[in-house]
Amino acid sequence: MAKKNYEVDISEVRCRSCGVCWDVCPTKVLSWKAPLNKAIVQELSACTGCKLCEWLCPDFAIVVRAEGVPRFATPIPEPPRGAI
Amino acid sequence: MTTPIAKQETARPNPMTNLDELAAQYGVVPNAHFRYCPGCGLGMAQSALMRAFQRLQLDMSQVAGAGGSGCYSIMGHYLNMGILHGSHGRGCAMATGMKLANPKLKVVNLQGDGDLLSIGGNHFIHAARRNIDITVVMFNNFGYGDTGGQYGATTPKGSYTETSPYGMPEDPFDPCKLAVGAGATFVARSTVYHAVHLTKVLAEAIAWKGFSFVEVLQHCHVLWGKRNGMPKASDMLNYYKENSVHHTPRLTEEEQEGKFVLGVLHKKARPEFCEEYEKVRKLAQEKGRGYGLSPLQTGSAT
Amino acid sequence: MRRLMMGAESICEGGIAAGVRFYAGYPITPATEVAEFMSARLPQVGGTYVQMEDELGSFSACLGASAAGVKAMTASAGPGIALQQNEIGQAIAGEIPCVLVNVGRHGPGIGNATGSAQMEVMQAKYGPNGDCPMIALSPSTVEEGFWLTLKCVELAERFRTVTILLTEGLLALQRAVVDLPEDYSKLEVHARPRPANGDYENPYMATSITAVPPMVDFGQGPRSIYRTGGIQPQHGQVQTRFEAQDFSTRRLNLKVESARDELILVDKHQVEDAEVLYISFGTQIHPALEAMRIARERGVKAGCLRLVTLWPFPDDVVREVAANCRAVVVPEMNLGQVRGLVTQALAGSGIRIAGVNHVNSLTITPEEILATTQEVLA
Repeated sequence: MAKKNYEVDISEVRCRSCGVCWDVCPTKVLSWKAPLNKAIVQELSACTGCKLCEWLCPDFAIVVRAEGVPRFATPIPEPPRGAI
Repeated sequence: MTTPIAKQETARPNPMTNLDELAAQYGVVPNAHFRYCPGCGLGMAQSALMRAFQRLQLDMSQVAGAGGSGCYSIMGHYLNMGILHGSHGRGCAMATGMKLANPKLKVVNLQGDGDLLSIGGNHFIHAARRNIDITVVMFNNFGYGDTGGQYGATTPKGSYTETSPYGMPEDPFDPCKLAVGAGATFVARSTVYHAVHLTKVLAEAIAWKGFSFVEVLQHCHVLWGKRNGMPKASDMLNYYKENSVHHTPRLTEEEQEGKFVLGVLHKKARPEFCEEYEKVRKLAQEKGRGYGLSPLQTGSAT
Repeated sequence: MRRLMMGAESICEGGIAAGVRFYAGYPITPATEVAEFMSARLPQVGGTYVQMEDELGSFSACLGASAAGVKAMTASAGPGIALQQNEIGQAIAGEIPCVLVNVGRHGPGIGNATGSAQMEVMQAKYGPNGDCPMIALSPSTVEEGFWLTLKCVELAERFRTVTILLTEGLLALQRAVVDLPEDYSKLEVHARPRPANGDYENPYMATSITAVPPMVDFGQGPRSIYRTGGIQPQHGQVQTRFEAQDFSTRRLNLKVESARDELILVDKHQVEDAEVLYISFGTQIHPALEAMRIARERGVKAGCLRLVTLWPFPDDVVREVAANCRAVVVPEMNLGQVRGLVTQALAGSGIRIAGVNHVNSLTITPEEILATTQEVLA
């Protein structure tokens, strides 16, 4: 069976750097980036589409999309930059 | 050789539905951050609840929530359902009134551990006893989070909190055993770490006809966790992972000792209160104990 | 329909006539009978009676039922009412209609449970935390219990607030012959306000500081959020947190206060030429009326003002009616709660105010009122 590809969309504004996603990812797809330690994708090819990061993100900042699945018509709203 | 049965074309919900689609249908996400601390288990529980609603394909206009005061109380606002965001502890009583008034509503009562078991304990045990068809989801973060992290009825003995600076001196409840003792017909426990398990358990509880209770172990790493050596959300998720054991009928006492026992712990149907009360109505209308009033007033005039 | 009926039953019938189909209660002397009648009558008319585990649960269940679209009512007394103050305040803040029947009994504390009193006048308004509005009506006969309960339900629905039927053990437990309508469906009872266009999700869309926002029940519209503790800013305006709190608290009070004219109900007896005025309410109007009759026979020009509405307190009516009096006597079964309010209303008028105060479960006698009249006119 051919390996499936996944896209990992992370909303930098929604992310609040809690660290759960990169700790829980079984294949180390995710990491963080200075200065605010927001989550980023470091190795997309390792993603198996398990969605643990998406399900466990408390801020609804991550959407893992299987190849060919488009973004939904209405995206998850983002707070204005700098909002608390 | 038997003829293969044609595969049924059913609209089975896709459990891997993307969050943007789920949130559009089952949630109400504001253009602001959720009012939880970063990393809070409530955000994870909220996600699981949405997936549970999807799993059941609920008509959200007929879902009504009840809740009290606490960190979790804003959750009702982030879910696409009506909610009575009421006073501290009265969730089960309000939910009882809501369900009796309109039995077609699916009533989901969201409460915290302090809210449900302390100030709301009386309403909890009686709603369980009545077996009214509501689902009580209790977010157990080991104390009172919203007021700063004081200890509560589920705080582990010896742990440090805002009001137990020398260690919690009391023994906690086991909320699930309490629920079973009070007569709850469906009792389950899960944690926010076990995302798939939690979704399934919540869905089963909501679909259950009768009083269903789900204890959701939901970490508060900012208050309880930090004071007890687990300052990061991931630390507490690990804690749940390492200290949980899945319920089976053959689980021994030693295997359970000091662990969170997850799963559907009790499931035994008995007559549901709204149905029982419908029988009372029929009886009242037949017998017409109208204290001498005319048939027009007893409502049984034909 | 004409028959002998207990006050509690008449109150129960008043609720049912007004459309109450949910009662959650807890036994407490002397309000238990209301619950008992409701437990028998409500299932007959398709309603629900549930006995909750305490008074707090009772009121909360009523809130839940009301938010789900069913008119709800509960009755309690003394200690039970004191327990419910949190929930009463929550209902007022959440603008969820509910009727509370307070069957007055002797206190404080447990007091004499089977003794009557009128000790919760001030508590009705100032019991819950915060600045709350209150509508409280007090019946003085068993038959009036029916009509005032009906009115309480109507006002609760119309103003989206809690209304209190302030009654007494003496009235709830007495039996009298009443004349009640045969067919309740012919009574016109105001319903709760609904949104004009039929559906929206916010049950707090108040557009002005005296507005009663339209209400949407659970299951009716897309999504209604009831916040019993929240601050509800003015709809359509951008307000700071502080402006929103100010607007919210004032509106809750003004929505009731601005309708004073129609909420104030009083009964006047021979007040036009009165030189001494008896101001009374509830069951204690009867000794006052008798005292008035005897006084008139003796040549003393006495008049009676019966307060049907206790809250909002009719201080303007009191001022107007007592304007030409020399003295006012307030007979009440408490240590002077209404006398205090009357004194406030008549401040600066020079009118002498005296009270006849019973806190012994026994009703006031006309002789005592006359004795006080003599003292105060001397």
